[in-house]
Amino acid sequence: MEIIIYGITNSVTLALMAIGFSLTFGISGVPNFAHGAFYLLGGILTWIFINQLGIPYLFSAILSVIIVGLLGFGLYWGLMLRLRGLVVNEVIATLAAAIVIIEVLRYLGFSGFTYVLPEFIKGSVNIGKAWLDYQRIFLVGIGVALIIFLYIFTHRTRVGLSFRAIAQNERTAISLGIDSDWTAALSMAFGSALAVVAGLAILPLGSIDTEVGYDILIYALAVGIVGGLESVPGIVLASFILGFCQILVATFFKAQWLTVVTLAAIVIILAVKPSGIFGKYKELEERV
Amino acid sequence: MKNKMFLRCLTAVFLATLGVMFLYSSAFAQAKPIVLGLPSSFFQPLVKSGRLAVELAIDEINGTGGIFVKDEKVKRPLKLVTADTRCGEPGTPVHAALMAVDKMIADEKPDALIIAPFRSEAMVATMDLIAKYKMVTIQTIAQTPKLIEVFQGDPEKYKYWFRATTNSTYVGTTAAKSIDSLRKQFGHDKFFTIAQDTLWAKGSADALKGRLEGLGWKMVGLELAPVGTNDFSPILSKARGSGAQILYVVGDMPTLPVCFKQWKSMKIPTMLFLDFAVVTSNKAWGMYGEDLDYVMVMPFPGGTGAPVKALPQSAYFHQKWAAKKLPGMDDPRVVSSAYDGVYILKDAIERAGFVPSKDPDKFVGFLEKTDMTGVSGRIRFDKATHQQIFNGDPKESSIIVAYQWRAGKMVPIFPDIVAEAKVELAPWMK
Repeated sequence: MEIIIYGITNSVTLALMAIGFSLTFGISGVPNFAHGAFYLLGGILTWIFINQLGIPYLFSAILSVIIVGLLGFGLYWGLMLRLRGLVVNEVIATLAAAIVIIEVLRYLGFSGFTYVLPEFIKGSVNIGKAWLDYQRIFLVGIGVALIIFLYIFTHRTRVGLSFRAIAQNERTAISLGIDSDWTAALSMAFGSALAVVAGLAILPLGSIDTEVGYDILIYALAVGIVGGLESVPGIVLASFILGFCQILVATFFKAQWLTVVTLAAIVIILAVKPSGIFGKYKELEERV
Repeated sequence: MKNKMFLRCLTAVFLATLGVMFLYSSAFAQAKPIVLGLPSSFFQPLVKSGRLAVELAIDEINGTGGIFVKDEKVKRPLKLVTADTRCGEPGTPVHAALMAVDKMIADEKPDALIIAPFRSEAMVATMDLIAKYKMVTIQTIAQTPKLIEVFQGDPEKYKYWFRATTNSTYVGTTAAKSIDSLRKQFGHDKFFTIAQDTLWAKGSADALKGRLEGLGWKMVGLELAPVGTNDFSPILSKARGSGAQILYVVGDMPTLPVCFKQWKSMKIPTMLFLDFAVVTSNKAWGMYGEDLDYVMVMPFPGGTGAPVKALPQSAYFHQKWAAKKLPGMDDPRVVSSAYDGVYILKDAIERAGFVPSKDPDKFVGFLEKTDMTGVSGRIRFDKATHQQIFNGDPKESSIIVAYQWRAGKMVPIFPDIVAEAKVELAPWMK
């Protein structure tokens, strides 16, 4: 029972870390290497709003999501628009943005263990034979809600449908009157905002440190490569595969192999199915 | 007649003014500051706090007019100069740290050094600079026993170096003894270790294993957690099933708070001894709150993380820190040693009657005879090693104290001579 419970929470945590990255890449084709930096920035902004400005937790969280979302939009509109299609340049530009954000935060002193976000509700509950803290239950709830929201959003709303249209075929979408630049910028804003939502769910479990900005990017990339970078169902499946593998390895072998599990999964997937489990990009390339 | 009188008065006033000015200027000239050099890595929280501790001591001493230097018949204020060695930052080579120390000594010509480089490797390499410049150094961070080996390799050459803090051997031994006190109190004899998967943390875990096994304990599990682990549930489940009564966790990664939070939320039936500097100061309660309840910690030396009644200077140190509204310590380890270090120099200068740079060889003899009370007890140096002596009785030497977090307070629990309460089991263990 413990393996199932902790496997689910670990998997949803991984899915939350990766989903914003996947959404942006799937629609705009931009690999947003600033994803981890936005995750970190959202956490720190929320901490500042709560502790320095005295704004209530919920409003602080909403404010951070909006600010970082706008920043993501600005990054696309101000920089990525000029580099679109130049994959290496896109990677370099977003990675540079990530380094600037993280290192400026470090320079400003946001490193160490001072910065802790409060848990939504303290305490834990016994499920089966497994004790689980309320924050992780919230985390699973947020993950599930987010996936349902994304499904409804991309299938029932005008903006969401335009996201899917661009993701499926940009030229056809443009011929139907969809502004692809605007939609791609919105997807970057959405992906960045989702990074903050993930941070707000995960960061109260530990503390906020600038190193987190780099760690999250690595997890997001690992999940994305296994599941297919542009595929949300792929991300969910890959999170569950990696999440349960990690828990099983730590339970039946040694915890020090946790990192190896992730890296081995990447190597195997790249060798067997380079586009990831549900990915399409590489398959198209191969067909061409 | 009146004019003559007026002129005489004017002349007298003029001469008196000149006399006062002369006396004042000569006194001013004599009150040249004693320069303390602080070359260390200011990226590290414990160095940032250590610098504040040095400044606190300097402010206190300068508030009384400075240190009386008998040979010069004058009180001289202290002045601090700093150099960032950056040796605590990833990727900084040792030679870069050495250059920073060398440049400071050449440019600022300090009378003595305080704190000194952070990283043990850089400190070991700095020993030759200290010897070359005959620079009296009160070193208060690096914990490696290697420094004593270097000193004992050529005591005459390295005699200007004094370690006014703990070393890792004392720290490890005291940690083992404080855990062993639970065997006497509760009959515990099995422990489980979670170490961050890094060299230093594994080294600490190995050292503690050896010491505890020597005391009759059995290690029933060892797990290495990769840096970045943010779910400890499978590891903690193993600890639960291992039959351990003590869980020893060592590391410094940003996600380590997840471990003690899960220890509590999963109600793991072990006591938790946490070797994690961040949770060893009063500031930690503001960050983690009741998640810290019942956790045992051991900042070193005694009294640096929180006051101990049996160490009156520790209460004074923390009161002064609070009164000056200095920021809470992110990492209190060895911070009080930096504060004590300034007073060790003051005491030696007053006894010697001259500053260290005037005759370093002679000054060393006065430092060796140091016998004063500091934050962590009685401060004396072992002449054979120039290491501050640590033992179990604060009347005889300095001590290290283990605490248990209880309702927002760090309560001293070990050694018995200074303990203010017995260890309490976590409620889910009763």
